[in-house]
Amino acid sequence: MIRVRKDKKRVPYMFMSPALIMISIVFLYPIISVLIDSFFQISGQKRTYTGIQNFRVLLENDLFWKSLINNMKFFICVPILIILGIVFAVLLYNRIPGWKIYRVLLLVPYIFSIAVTGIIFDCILRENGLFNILLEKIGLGHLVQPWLGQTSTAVYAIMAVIVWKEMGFGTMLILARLLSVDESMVEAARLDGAGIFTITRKILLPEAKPVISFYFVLCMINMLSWLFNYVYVMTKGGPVNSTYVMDFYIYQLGVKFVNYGMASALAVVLLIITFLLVGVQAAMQHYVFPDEED
Amino acid sequence: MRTGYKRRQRMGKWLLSAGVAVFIFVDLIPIFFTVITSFKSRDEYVYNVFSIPERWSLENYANLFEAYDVPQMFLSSLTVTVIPIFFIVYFGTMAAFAIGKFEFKGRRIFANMIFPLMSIPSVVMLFPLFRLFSKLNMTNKFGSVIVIYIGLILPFILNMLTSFMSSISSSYLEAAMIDGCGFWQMFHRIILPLLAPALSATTIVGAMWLWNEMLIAFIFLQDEAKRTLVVGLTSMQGLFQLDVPLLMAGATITTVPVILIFVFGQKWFIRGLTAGGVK
Repeated sequence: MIRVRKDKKRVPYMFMSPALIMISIVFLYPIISVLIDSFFQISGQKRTYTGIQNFRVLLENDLFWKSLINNMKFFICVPILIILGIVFAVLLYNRIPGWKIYRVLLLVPYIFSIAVTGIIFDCILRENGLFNILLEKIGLGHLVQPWLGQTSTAVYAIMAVIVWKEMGFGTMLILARLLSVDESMVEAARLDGAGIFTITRKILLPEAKPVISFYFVLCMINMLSWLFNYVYVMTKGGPVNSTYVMDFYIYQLGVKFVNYGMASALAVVLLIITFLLVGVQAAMQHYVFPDEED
Repeated sequence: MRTGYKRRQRMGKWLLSAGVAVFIFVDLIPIFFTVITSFKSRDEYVYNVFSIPERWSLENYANLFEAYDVPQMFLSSLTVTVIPIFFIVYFGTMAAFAIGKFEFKGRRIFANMIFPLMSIPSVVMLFPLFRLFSKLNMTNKFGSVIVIYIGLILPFILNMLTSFMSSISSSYLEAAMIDGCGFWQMFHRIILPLLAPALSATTIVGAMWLWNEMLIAFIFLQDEAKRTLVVGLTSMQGLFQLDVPLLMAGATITTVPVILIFVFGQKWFIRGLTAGGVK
């Protein structure tokens, strides 16, 4: 921190102001108007105050509960992403031959646009697509099915695509932390005869705990409110509404049903759930890792 | 004994490496598929989904350029990537400078707001923003998307930049101040040059995010003459549902610029991506 003289107190605000103005336009104003709109029925230019009517209708709506439950289903991706991230980060940390190239290659799916990824997998997972043809080739012909086109598998197919795309990021995040672990500590343990597993369990994982918990919350938030692109490109919520998730439903309420009041109410619900999650993360940072505070 | 152990360990590492190599090969099959299929004719794809084309053809790319104004979509994508990223990095560094190096009222609130803001999906802000920009008569103009993009990824960029900012020593800045260096000058002459590698990292990560963005570009640039590549591709998906090779050509064209940035800037890209989480 720089100490500034009394008459220079305005300086930091001056440096903050462009960012604050942009954030106010893009976040503050829309969120306040969503909060207000959620209590109104809006059709065209006409607005009628209806109290908590929107929320009541929403909570009685099957599609809302279906979306919420689907979001919960997507949480299955979180432990999978974390375990894969840890496994690959530890493997690369042990400098297996070629680890530097692997590190780059593992990240390749992550740089694809979600829209592009979705279109590619839409083609691959079709009934006559690459995945089913590969299944036939390895003698699993009886498993052939339209993965994205039937209610029983669509959600899980989207999950697989998400894991495919996001895996490299977790690996990178955890690996970056491991690479900054004090080398001499690991070396000392190795000289004492500790194997890879012991070193991982006793030194690497505890050191990486804060970043893993950060990644955990990031994944939870993604599964809660950043699924729109995947769903929009791969299934449009179908078949038979089986892949509706909350952020996709907000979009549908606004664009398809032109019901801004309801869309706002759902946005408010989503915001509340997201902030609860962020709050839990902050509390964890505070109570579980007090030494990590700056 | 010792050497035997060492050799066994080296063998083990090679085996693990081979395992990872196989995994990565399988992992990248969808990408091989995309590129290879884009060079197959539509007729060939019907009976040959799996292997390398018997005849490499540019037919899909030709069709794509005929059906869509690809250079124009490329320019749109470039416009809404390059212009915002400049402002984002500049405004972001200014704010990170304030948060990281000054003590002022509200500093903790600003700093603690970064992560919650990052977690809000853009669909929440979509309809109020659309109404706001309609009133200002700014829909279907690049200006609207540029303004929204700047605000939308600032929290994300700030999260990276504040962690980079802590690497600059405060006493160094104080020494400069005693020598009569003003804050504005300090920002341009010291902060920006010292952070140059960090700024490259931030720029690359941010640019990739913007290039790949779909929802805002889709809603605010519906005019066909202003569509971005990603948005054009999603419209293609609706129109040419069954023409897989054409779609794969579109996917390839959309992704090539990102791959190029990644190949040349991967070191910075990785550093930028991991900065926010590893403090």
